[in-house]
Amino acid sequence: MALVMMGAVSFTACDDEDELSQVSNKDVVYVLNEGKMGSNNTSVSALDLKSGENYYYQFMAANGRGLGDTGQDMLRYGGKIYIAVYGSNTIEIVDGTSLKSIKTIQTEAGKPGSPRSLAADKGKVYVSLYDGYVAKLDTASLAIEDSIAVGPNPEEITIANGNLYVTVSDGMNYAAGYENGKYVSKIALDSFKVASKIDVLVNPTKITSDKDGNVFVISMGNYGDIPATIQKITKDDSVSVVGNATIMACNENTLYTINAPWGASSIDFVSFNTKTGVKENSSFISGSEDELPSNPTSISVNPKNGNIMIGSYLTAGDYSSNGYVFEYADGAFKAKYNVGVGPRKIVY
Amino acid sequence: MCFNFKTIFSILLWLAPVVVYGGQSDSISFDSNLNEVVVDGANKLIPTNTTSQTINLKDSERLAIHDFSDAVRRMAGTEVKDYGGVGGLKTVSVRGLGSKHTAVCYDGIPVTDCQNGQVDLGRFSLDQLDNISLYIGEPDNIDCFASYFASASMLNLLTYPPFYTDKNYHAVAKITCGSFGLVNPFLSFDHKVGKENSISASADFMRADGNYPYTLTNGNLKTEEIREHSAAASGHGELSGNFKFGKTQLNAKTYYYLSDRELPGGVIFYNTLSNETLKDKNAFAQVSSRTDWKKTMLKLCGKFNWNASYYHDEAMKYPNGVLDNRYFQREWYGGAVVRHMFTEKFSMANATDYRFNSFNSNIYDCVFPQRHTVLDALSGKFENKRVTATATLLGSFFFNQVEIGDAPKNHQHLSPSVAVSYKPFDKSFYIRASYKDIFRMPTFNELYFNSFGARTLEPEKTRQFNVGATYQLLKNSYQETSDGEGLKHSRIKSFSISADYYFNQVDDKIVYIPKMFVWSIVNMGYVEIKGLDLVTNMDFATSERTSLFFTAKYAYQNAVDLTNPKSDIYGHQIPYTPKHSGNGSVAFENPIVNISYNINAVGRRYSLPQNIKANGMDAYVEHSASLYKKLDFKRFDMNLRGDVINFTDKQYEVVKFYPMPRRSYKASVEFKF
Repeated sequence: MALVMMGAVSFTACDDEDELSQVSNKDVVYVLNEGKMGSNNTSVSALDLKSGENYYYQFMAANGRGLGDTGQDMLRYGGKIYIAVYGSNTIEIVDGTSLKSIKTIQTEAGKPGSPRSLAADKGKVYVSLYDGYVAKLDTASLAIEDSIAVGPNPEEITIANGNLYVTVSDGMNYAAGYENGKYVSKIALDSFKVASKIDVLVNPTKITSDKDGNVFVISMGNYGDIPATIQKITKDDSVSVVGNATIMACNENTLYTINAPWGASSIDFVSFNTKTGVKENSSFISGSEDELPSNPTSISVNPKNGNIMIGSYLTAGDYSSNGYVFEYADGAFKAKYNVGVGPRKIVY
Repeated sequence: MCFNFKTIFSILLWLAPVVVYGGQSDSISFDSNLNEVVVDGANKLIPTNTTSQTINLKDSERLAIHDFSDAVRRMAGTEVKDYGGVGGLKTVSVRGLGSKHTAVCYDGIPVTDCQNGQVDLGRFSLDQLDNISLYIGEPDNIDCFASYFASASMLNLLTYPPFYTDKNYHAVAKITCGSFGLVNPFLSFDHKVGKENSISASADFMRADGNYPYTLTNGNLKTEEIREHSAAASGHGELSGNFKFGKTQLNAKTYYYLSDRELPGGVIFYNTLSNETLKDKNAFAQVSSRTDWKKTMLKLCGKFNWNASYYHDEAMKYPNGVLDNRYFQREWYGGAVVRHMFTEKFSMANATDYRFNSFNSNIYDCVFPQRHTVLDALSGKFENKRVTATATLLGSFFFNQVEIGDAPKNHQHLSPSVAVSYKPFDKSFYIRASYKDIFRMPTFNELYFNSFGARTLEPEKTRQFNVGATYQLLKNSYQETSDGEGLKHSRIKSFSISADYYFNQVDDKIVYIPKMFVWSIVNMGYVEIKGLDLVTNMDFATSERTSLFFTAKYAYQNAVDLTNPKSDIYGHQIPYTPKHSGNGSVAFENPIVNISYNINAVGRRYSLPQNIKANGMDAYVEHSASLYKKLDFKRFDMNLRGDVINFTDKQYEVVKFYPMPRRSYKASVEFKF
């Protein structure tokens, strides 16, 4: 009797299925949220900068599926948006307004993959692959047409002076002190060959450039006695130290940097002149405690109005909850948007 | 309300009494002397004057228990984390405290892992075990080794004691086969030497292909996938001897375990590549003795343990395309406990443990850590007809050493605990209350496996408060005879119901923080857990030759993160802690073929600390059933058993992105000589 009764008991589980809403207008910018490694929760948030509204899960809303695991970079180019998803080993190519997927590039087994960073020039999108390569993607055929070995564990890339600069970190070789990760490879884009190797401090990871072709690279150091350091690379490959920072972005001739090394009691927001390397402002944003990022992940400048946008995790110790994007106009706090986990990149 | 757990468990819990009263109104009397229906009274699934519980594995068929971790999750207060498949890691957290707060003992002697701080339950097979006990807070008695008092909860695994009838040997041969290429033979042999001595040997081997199908859900997209790269093989052998010299009972055991597994890792969308493998080796030798004088008892034990793990991965991102990490740990352990009965009602015990752990590996920042641990527990127990009270004061001393750099500072703690139970009537009705203050030391992984100052980590502290009550009706003449009076003429052979309310605190919680490709570990976090455990079971004679056995458990847990009032996750339920969960089983035993059924239900929970829909994990219900039959031949007994696990083919996950197998089958034949 008991058996029959228990067998007859049926469970019904259900969710309050929130309608995922998609938004698209000229005031919207998209935020790529990295997610927590292993959680398949990379997502795209939309921020309406005019109304101050925020919208979660825009890729999911447009495509009915998730982006996957640990999205690293997002790039708007030629009406499309390219998204490098490291853990899922994919490059998603989506329509620049509808976010509908046009193509998902997956890596064949045994071939180099693990996309990290994106840059575009003359109809090509370049992507660094953590397996030691930079690949060239044709934006007409949407196929990878060439790739070049650059060294172990390349990270961010930037394009300046007709060259692609790629940081070679050797990040998986911490056991040997990142011994093969002490240079930036310069690749001539017309020949797609390595033009030179530029020696920098150990573990170069972040790279950007200004409109005049000055390149800035952050070597993360060894998370011990060598701190994260910004270096400037000029057109003739000469290198000079600018200061210490962990995150940066260029706009016009200003380099905005954030120094938030692990365990530091305060976060520095220092800007430099990209031409001279001289400090411009020792605190380029201001606001109350709630108006400043507690655990910054990214910085960018809105090209339309020069506003500074800074992404942050929820709190100093929380790397798995939804975070924020802070907006500053002329250095003053303007808005705080809710976004997904680990806002990593904004496309305007 | 979408998920109607309350209704379900009301049915589960109140079904038993309904049947009880139904039975009582029926005037047909039951003769308990019939041999066909043997009620085994040793199953103490229900806590009485302490919160401890025991599953007698002779009942594993009756409870439709199909493996070790399934047995553990039947106990009240447990939450088993299962990464899926035969080779998948399985750990147990008790009452929301986290798996590193649960100690494991094998034949009374601790099994430890100084590197990880938790033992993979997947390595234990039910075949060689006689029973499993779970102590929450205090152990059952004061006459145990100091390590028993040194953790928030403890699982004690007991192997079969030598069993002799008129013969001087006993042998078991068993083979289990199942879905996904499971083959699992087991052999054991006991031989009596002289009158009171014996030697035993047992060995088992297990292999499985894994590669089970599952449904992957990614948004609206559902795809049929195969869980590839999940083969596993393992084997274990042990040799033991039991000897008696005068007042002393001596047990010696050597043990060797080997496993080789492919690790499929968590499911990553669009990327099925995985090459990770893990080999584990474990060997130990242990000796224990117990000497009983008239009023004094002395127990001694010693153990040497060796563990090796070989992790291997292949990917282009690694230097030279491979990652090989090898970890080795050694432990020397010794314990002594003396207990003296000062009066019939009052006894005291002092237990001292010493442990030395050392660790080395080939990883670049290995500092070759060592730790000396000294534990001393002084306890007292008062017991009369109505009251049982125990109190313990545990002193813990830790001395850390490293070969490179500075050692973490040494730690010492005093940890009190008390437990009281009261039996207000002559009937088996108990009320109990207990308090325990304990901690866990950071593991070697937490202290040494990164360069971010984790050597300053403090122990993770817990406090446990418990109040509970149990009501029991027993009929077995050979057990608790004084309590059986109400059942003499009823069909109910036993009925128990128990409820516990608890309040736990975890402070200085050790939290992992990702930093690029390494981790950083800090003491950060305060968690409060309020919970309710309800358990009931009943044995019921449906006729002279048939019986029904019923068990049910329900757990409520409100386990919330109260670390930072300004954070968006303040007050959120901690990951992998369902508010509602429970299971129940029914067995119908009869002369033709016995059948048992188990239902396991787990409510909605979250995979990450933030309680948002994206982190939610759906509730699930899993059903399993067993058919079993014992055949007695002249020279041997034969046990046949078949299991259907998850027979409704439910796709679910215990750990997010580690899908569990859907329907699977298992069959075994066992010969006992």
